[in-house]
Parts: sequence; C-alpha cells; structure tokens
Amino acid sequence: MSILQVEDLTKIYGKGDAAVTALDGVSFSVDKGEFVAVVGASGSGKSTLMHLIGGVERPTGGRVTVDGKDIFTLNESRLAIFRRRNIGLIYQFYNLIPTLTAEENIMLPYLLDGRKPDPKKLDEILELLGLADRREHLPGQLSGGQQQRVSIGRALINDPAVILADEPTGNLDSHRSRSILELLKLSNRQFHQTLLVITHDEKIALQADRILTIGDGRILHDEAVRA
Amino acid sequence: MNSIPAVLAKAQLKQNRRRTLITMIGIVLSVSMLTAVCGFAVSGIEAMRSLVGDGYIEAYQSMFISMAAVLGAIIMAASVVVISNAFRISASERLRQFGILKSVGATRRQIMKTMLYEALYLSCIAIPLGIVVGLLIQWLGTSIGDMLLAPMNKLIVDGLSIHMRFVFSWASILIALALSLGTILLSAWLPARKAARIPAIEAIRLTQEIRVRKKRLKTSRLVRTLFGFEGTLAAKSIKRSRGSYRAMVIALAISIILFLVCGSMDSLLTMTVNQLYANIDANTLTTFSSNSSASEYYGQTLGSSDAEPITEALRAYPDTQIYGVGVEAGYTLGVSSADLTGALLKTLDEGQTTVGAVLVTVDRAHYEAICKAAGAAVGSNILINSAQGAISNKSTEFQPLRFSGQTLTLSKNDVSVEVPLDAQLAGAQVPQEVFYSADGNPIIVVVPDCAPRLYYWYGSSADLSGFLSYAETTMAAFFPVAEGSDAFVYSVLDVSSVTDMTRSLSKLVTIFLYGFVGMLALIGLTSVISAISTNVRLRAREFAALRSVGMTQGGLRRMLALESVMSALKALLYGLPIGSLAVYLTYRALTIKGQFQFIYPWATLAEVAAGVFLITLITTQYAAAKLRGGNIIEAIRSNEGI
Repeated sequence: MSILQVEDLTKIYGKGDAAVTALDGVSFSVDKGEFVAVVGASGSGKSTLMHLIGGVERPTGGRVTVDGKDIFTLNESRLAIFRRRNIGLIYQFYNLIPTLTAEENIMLPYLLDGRKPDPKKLDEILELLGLADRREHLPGQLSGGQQQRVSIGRALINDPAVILADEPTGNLDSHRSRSILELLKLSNRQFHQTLLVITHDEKIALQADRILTIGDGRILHDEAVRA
Repeated sequence: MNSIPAVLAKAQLKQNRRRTLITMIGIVLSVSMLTAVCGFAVSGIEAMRSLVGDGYIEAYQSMFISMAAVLGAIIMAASVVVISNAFRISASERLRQFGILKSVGATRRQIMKTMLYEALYLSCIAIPLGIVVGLLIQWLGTSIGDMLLAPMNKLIVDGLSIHMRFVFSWASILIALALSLGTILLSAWLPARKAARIPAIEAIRLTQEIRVRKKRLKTSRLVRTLFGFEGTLAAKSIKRSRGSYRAMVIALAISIILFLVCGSMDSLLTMTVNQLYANIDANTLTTFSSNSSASEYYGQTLGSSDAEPITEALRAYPDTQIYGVGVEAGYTLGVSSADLTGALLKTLDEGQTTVGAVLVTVDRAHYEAICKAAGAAVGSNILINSAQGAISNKSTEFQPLRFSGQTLTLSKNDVSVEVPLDAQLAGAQVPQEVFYSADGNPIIVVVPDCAPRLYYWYGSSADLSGFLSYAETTMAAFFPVAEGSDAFVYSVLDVSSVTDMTRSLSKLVTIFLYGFVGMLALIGLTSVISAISTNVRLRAREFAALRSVGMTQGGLRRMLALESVMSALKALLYGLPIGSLAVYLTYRALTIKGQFQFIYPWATLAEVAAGVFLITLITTQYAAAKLRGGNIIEAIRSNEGI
C-alpha cells in the first residue's frame, strides 16, 4: 500500500535567465514501512525534494500525496497542522529549540497541538533513544549525537506517516553515525515506520530497502537493495 | 497559560536578560510618561477648577484633554518605533527557531503568539512599574508646579488662589493602562506579523536576515577618503542592515526635532516675559483711574496741579525715584492726514480710518527734562515720535509722523482739537515710561497740562515693601473711598511680582517641555543600546570573516565607531531640516503677527548636535566593550549548533 506518492514534482527557483530547475518532473511512490534512501551529488535536488515532501516549501508543479492527502491543496495553517500530525523531519543540524528541554523538544509536535503525548509512549521513545536520564537537559548540554537522537525522538513521537531525514548523520563521527542509523532502522522495524533518508553516504544507503539516485533534478535510478 | 508559545516566550525573556531589562526600561519609561501626561491633565483641570469654579471648567477641560491627547500621541508614536525595534531584534534572533517550529508544524498564529506572549509577560511587570513611576513624576511635577505658581497667588485678589495638586484618578490610570497595553501589543504585533510570514524553509536556512540585496551598493568616494576602508564598510553595513539603524536614526531625529521646538518655545516665552515692563526701571507701579462708573471719582481728571502734590508725597519716601505720567486718551487722527509717514500707513489694518493719539502730562521735574532734551522751552508741546508695529510681519520701531513744527488736528468725541507741535523726541531719547503709558497709541504728545483720567507713578524704591505700604496709605489719604466700595480707584503694584510670576510660569512650561522631551530621548537611547548590543552579536560571523582576512581588532572597533557616527550624522541630516521647519511653524502658531522677529534657536541647535555626538560616543564605547567582551569565534560556534 503506497503511503507517499510523488507525481511529476517540479521546482524552479528564480525567474527568466536566472531560473534554476532544482527538480524536473520527479515521480515515485513509497509503501508503508519502506526504508528508502535518496542519494545524489550535492546540488542534485535531493534537499529540495525533501523540503517539498515535508511541505515546508511549495512546488512549481506536481503533486505530493501523503496518506491519501494531496498536501498542497491545504492552506498554510492546515498544512502546518497536517505536518505536525503526519510528517517527521530530521535535519543534519538537529534544529532543536535551544530554550526547551530534551523532553519538551521531543513533545513539541504534541505541544503545538495543545495535547500531551501518552506518557508510556514518551517513556518508550526516551528509552529507545537512550535519553531517559537526559530528559531535563537543554540541547546546549547534550552532545551532537544526543541532540540528533532528540530530533529523531521529535520525529517519532506523533507516529507520522512518513519520516524524512536530511543527512541525519552528516554532522557526526562514524561511530555515532552508526548508532543513529541503527536507531532509524530499529524504528523502521519496531514501529513499522516509513523512512525516507537523504544521504550521500553509500554505507547508509546500502542499509535501505531501496535506493533512489537523483541527478540534475531527475531520478536516474530506482533500485531495490538485496539484503 | 502553559501553551507552547507561552513557554517559548518566557524562555526567550530569560535567555537574553540584558536585552529584556533594556526593553523593560523602555516600556517603563513610555508607560510612565503616558501615566504622567494623563495625570497632569487631571491635575491641571483640578487646578483650574479651584480658580474658575465648576461653571467655567468645561472649556479648560477640553483644552487640557486635547493637549494631553497630542502629547500622548507623540509618546505613543515614539514608543511604537522604539519598542517594536526591540521586538524586531528579538524576532530576528529567533528566526531560525521559528523556522524549526514551522517545520514541525507550528502555524503562523502560534509563531505570532510567542511574540505577543513575550510582550504580555514584559507588560505584566513593566506596566505596573511604569504607572508607579508615572505617578511619582506626576507628584513631583505638580509639587514643582505649585511652588512656581505661588507668586501668582499673591496677585490674585478676592480670596481665590490657584494650586496645583497631585490628583489620583482611577479613570486617568485606566486610560494610561489601556493606551500602554495597546502601544506594547502593537509594537510586538508589527514585527511578529513579519516574522510569522517568513517561509519555514527560509528561516531554517537563515537567509532572510543576512540576505544581501543583489544590487551593488554605491558608497561615495568622499566616505572613503574621509574615513578610509573601514568607513566604506561601515557605510555599506548601515545601508544593508537598515532595520536596526533605522530605529536608531528615527529615535535620534525625533529627539532632535523636539529639542529644537522646545528651544524655540522656550525663547519665545522668555521674550514674552521680558517684554512686560521690559525697559522700565521701576519696581512699583501706583495707578489712579477714574474710568470706573461705579467709583465716586468717576470722570475726575488729574491735571498737573492736582497730580504734582501726589508725586511729591510719594517721592518723599526715602531712597525713592518717582516718574509720574498722566494720560488723556481717546484722541484720533484721520489716516488721510498728510502728517502720517508711509511706515505708519503700512501698519494699518484694512479698512482702518483713524489712528489713536494720546496727550500726556508728566511730573514737573521730568517734563523739564523732556523739554531740555528736545531743545525746547518749558511749556512746549513735544511730539514723542516713536511707535512700534508690524511691518511686513516684522516688529519694527518707526517714526509715525513727519515732523515739521506743524499743528496737529486731533479729534475726540467729534470735537476737533488743535495741538501745535514745538519739538520732537525720537529713538533712544524717548522716555520709556511715557511710551509704555501710551498703551500702543502711535501718536503721543507731551503737553504741559491736560485732563488725564489715568495717572501712573512708576516708582523705584530701595525699600520695596516699605514703599508699597507707604504708597497705599498715601493714595488712601488723597482718595478716600467709602467703606464697602469695590470700584477701582487706585492700586499699588509690585512690578517685580508680576515679572516673577510670568517668569516662573515660563519656567514651569520650560521644565515640563524639556522633561517631556528628555524622557522621550531616554526611550530612544534604550533602543539604540539594544540595537547595538544585538548587532554585535548577530554580526559575529561577519566580524570573524573580517578578522580572518586580517582586519585588526582596532580596525573592527573603528568600523563600529564609524557606523555610529554615520547614523548620528544621518539623524542630524533628517532632524535638523524638519526640526527647523517645525521651529518656524511653532513661531507662526504661537506669535501674533509681528509680535517678535523670528529668531532661530542656534544655541539649542549647538546643544542638540553636541548631545547627539555625546550619545554616539557613549554607544560606540558600549559597542567596543561588547566586542572586547566576547570571543568572536566562540560566538560563531554557538550559532552553528542551534
């Protein structure tokens, strides 16, 4: 069953002579529970793809359907609400709120909804991420790996339809990278999470079920990985 | 209250304590000024009520209220500029944070709410504090006002007196509260709306604040030769990061304009005060008048022979000079008369057919002196050929008559009177006592004797209070009044008390004006300081880049200093022309046609320029200290990790 559908997605920055085509008619679909790696050289358009799927940017043309919902038919605030309930974003630079504790950062999508998450679920995630004894710490008091784990927790908390991760290990050493990747895979298996990871690291890509290779704004290859 | 916007707002306030404090000071100042203005209006209304009674208070009420409205509007406008700048800085610091929030699904409303909560939290502390400070200012102001009004009470008869008291009014406090809250929320709302509009992706990339306009900026060669390469950089960064400097320039320019206007109002007031009894060397004025029909002396004239004994009696008091002047008013001269000069004709209103004339008699000793000065024999009629009036909007002293030893034909109550002129006095020779007594009539003739119904004795006595009571008893002896009669026959006036009163009134107004403008300038200063301190932090990356290509710490400091100097110059560039225009408009609004010549307040101008550069110096020092305080490379790293 397809949970994410991308149809003829196009994004052009600028106008006239200065126009740059970042994405040029990209189409693919992802099934629920699939772990997809998106690879490509820098400037190939993979970050743009992720921002479009995440709904933080609007495309020039094409459609993105998440869990049966065409997200760009939503107005800005409905899209924001849809995002906090259905999409989890993980960035290279963690992007935590420096003034909130680790726990509050993880709960952020719920807090924005004016709700409290199920404490059991929160405990389960904190345990999984190895942050149980760090819940009251501020991001500034955590290491890079711990901060990235907090941002993974923030993406997991609301059981999103899709988790989008943009170079989640790009800022970490190889040891920490491996443990972050293990976590992502674990969540993929344990919670049956759909995972879309953007990376230029081949080792990470090979852990996925499927690799999408992007170049010049188009999909060059779409191949399944043999485990 | 524990929604996420509230939590984030609280955290932001705690995060940057110094800026929170400075913003709070700005808010406290503007709230206190709004409270004080409302309070002064109430106190002013009550003061007038005690003087004129309930029946007439309405006119004064609306006057005070509209005055308070104008001042309040100025305060609110200045506050919005300054406070919204503080919030704009707070928003730009958190732009990336807003981007993160948006990407995890915060709506625009939620982003705006975090800013509005920030404003609300600040208001919770700053507004009550501001109201207390405002009440203190009101109390202090009314106390000073009452002190300065005290000399006035000496002059007001009939048991009335004017007192300025501190009046506590819930209504005025509620109005101040509502206005303050409105000002603060508007100040937060303006930048919040802008911050919330920025797309999440832009905020995450943090391109908005440091985005450089694509157009190449031109900086003049003059800047380069004057200030060197650092100067060029400074000029460029002022042009690029307009926002934070704009608020500083606006705040400074508004202060400059208001100070200039204050300076000119102050000098206008001083001139008005000085005009009263300005050239008369007397500290008392004893007056006889038979113009009141209720008085038993109605219509009685005081010719030379009747006035001379009184003059002598007054002069008998030790160490006292007396100048006696009797005025017989009510004469006119047709404007068709060939005797009138062109200068006089220019001062006439449209449709005016006659000009006023008076016959004047002075005490014997001074009459002889006048005749001698004019080179005429005692017993001559001497023309005082000097008048003052507006010629093409300028107050000018001129000769009203063409003197040729002619005979003037004056008329009074349709009866013609021939007055042969024997000699004239003009310019500096004119005795001011005579000139002043003529009460603005352009044609004055000193005659040996006439029938004055008004007689003035200008007295100058070493023992002022002694002479005042002596003159009172002397006049009572000459003009006994039936008991219970309240008709005006004579009065003895302490001239210095009149000038004292007007001086203290003008001092009162001056203190209030300068206090008001000074507070406004202070509000502006808080914004300047917070702008600079944030600027240094936000630009850490740029500074580091400059350092890494070899700019010295001194060079950086110079660049910052030049940025301050250039914004000060810019403020002067806007403030001085607008201020000068405002000064001229104030002059036109406050003076009657031709009353005074327009005088540009150069002294205030110099003070203002000095003040602006002093502020610049302080802020530059402050920025330099900031630069020294933090390790720039560390600042960059801390920025990276967010």
